Amino acid sequence: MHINADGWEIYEESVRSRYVSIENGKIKMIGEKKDSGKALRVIKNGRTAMVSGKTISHDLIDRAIKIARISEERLQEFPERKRLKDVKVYGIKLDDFDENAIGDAGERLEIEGVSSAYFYVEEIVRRIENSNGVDYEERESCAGVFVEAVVDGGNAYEYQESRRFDFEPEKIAERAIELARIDSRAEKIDTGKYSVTLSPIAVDQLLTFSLYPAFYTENIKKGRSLLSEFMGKSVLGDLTITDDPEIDYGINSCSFDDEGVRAEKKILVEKGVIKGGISDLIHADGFPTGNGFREDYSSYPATSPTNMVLDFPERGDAEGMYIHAFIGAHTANYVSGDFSLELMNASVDGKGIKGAMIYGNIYEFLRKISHFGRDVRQTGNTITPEIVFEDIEIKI
Amino acid sequence: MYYEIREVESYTLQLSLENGKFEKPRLSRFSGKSFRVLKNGFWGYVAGDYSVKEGLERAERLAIHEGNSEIDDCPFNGKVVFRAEKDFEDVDLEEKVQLLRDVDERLKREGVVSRRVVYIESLKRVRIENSSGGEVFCQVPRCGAVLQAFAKGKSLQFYSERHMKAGGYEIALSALNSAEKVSEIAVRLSNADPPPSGRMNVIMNPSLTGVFIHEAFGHAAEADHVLQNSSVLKDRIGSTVAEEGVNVVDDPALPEFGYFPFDDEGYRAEKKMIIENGVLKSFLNSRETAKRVGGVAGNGRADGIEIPIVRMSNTYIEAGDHSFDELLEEAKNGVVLYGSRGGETNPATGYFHFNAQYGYLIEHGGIKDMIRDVSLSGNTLEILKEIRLGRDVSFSPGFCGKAGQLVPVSDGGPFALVRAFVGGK
Repeated sequence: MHINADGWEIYEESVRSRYVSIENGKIKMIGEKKDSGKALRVIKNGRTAMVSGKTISHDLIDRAIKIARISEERLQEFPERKRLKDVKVYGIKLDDFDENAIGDAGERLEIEGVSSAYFYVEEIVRRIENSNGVDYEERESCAGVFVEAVVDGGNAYEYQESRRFDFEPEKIAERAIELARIDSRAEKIDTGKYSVTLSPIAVDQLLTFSLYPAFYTENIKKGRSLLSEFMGKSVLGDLTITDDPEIDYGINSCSFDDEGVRAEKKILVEKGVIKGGISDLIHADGFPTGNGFREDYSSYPATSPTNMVLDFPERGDAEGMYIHAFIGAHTANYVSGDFSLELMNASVDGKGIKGAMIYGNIYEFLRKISHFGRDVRQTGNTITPEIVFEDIEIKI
Repeated sequence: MYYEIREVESYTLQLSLENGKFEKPRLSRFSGKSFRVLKNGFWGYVAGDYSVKEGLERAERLAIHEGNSEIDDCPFNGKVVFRAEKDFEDVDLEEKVQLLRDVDERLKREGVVSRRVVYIESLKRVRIENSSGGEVFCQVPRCGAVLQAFAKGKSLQFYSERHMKAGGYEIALSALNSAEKVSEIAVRLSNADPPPSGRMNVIMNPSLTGVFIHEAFGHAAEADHVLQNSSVLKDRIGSTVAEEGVNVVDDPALPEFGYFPFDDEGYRAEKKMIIENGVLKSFLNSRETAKRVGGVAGNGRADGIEIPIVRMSNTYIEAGDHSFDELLEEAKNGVVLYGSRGGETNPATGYFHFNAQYGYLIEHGGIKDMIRDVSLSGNTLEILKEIRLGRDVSFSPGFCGKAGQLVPVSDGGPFALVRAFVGGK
């Protein structure tokens, strides 16, 4: 294949998965998926464009070059080949999960109170090659379970994802059922200030939408992040945040990002002081951080965190109101840091709370951390234990 | 045994102008197939590039358990190609970029610190055949633009509008007319204050009324939630769920963003009355839920080659008879809220939460200061019991996410006065 460009990159992704779904406590379907595709980016006179498809045909190459000629997306070159770090990301073989094994896993979720659930195992092979000598390939695996439970009109969900099959699906289901049971007896409480404990799920939901995008170099440069004012200053109390793709079996661990940049650990916040941001290739000013990721092969690479590891000097027990999750976390405004969210499965001393809201500004909120819990868990992009906050206003 | 074969082909072109710079141009083509088999009440589903014989064999091999699934296997046959007024294939790339530049120029204004204009065109072709002899083909183009302005005043704020429909280049052209309004609102919003919080009278604009009816009510009317025992509307067919005079409709035949002529199970799409005069008339159904819960199928939709699940299309509350001034007068004090930054609902309990883009305080029946960062929450069924509806319905496009799948939808309604919880400082 001849590509008449100054630089090129081909990203290829193959996904194979098998899954089982459960409806109202009964196994309903077994499915499998096999999909693959390629994306080509070209550089022509310092300008770049991207096309994608099942295969990269001559017609697609021509379209890419035509679009690149008028594109104003500037890119001088694709990354050079580097020695990659060894990160473990492959912990389950899909071939060990044929329809019988997947069905067995599904049967473990046939529990009264489970309204819907699924369990899946997935293998992904990412490959990237460019005109600057990069030719990397990584095979990764993932298994996960998601359970929604309804008990006496009360409702809750719980989930777990891992690079390995190192969890018990029925335990996840039992936790969801217990939360739903508490929710079924939920009552109104009074508006007021409470000590509040956020579960790892709630922490991930809140930070993913109100804080993480503020670290993207693109948002900092375009006036869409307060961190341009806060860089080098102490604004987040004693909190430390590290973006760490090098953790063995971390859900978002990798040895290279989806643009062929070597993945590396970065300290973003050290004891409250803002230290730096994360970036994809295009917005990096020559120093990409290895955070350019694609949702799938056809989507444009964009900045995304890997594993955001949270740390705090004090550890202790959960206190006060316990918040399992939020409704509407994606409505938070990362530009200003403001959020106002509905609580889902909140409780005080095991008694459920009905229809309560929390609101505030993430930069003020994170200064109110009292201590961290002890059991660290990864949900989504965040690795954290429960976090206890003091003096938080809850409205009814 | 029932089987279904679906072949999907799609094409998307996305062009973005960020602060006047033409960035992230992306063209993608996709093709894929899926096969599903229902045997002994249990589903086997395969997505992948297999021959018909191999795909069906693989799907049957996965259907190894026994279950209680049944379906309405009614066959439909037909071919529908949606014709756009102005085919985007006939417009040069340079002209599309120039349109973005023209829109961007109109977004410029003192106080605006960042601008984004995105042009999107897509074409989806789907062919579905099933074991009962049905075979349908449809081709639907969608086109439009998203406008966004960030402004810095007392705080950093943004405002955005989407103009997207089933159709061609004419939809994107219509975005030109709203650029000045987008930047003006962004600048005023950046100098606005947060609203008071508490339970109060709220007038939702048509776009927010649409999000409300989609998020807070429509999801609970999806019959798969009924089968999962996770809908607050379970066992409520025939009962009064809203004030008399409230009609809620899902209509895939309207040429809005959620348009489709046949759903992704090859079932003919048609208008459904969900609430008629305050009474819950029907759920939205796939072939399976229609058979098991009762009702008419035609709302089984899929993202690419994923499994079809029950989804909305163009969902709206029909108009009432109040003028905007009458709504203001009736509200007396409270807020009027415009646009949506998305929302979420819990169909099992009816609790919902979403954020408006901006609003105004209402004092003594008059519109006062602008407010920012305002959220709205409450319980759907409580709100529908007391709702006053305005006279004109309009639609807003969006992508609805459910079970990890995104599909194009639109939501609509008139201005509506409700009592709900407003979150702010």
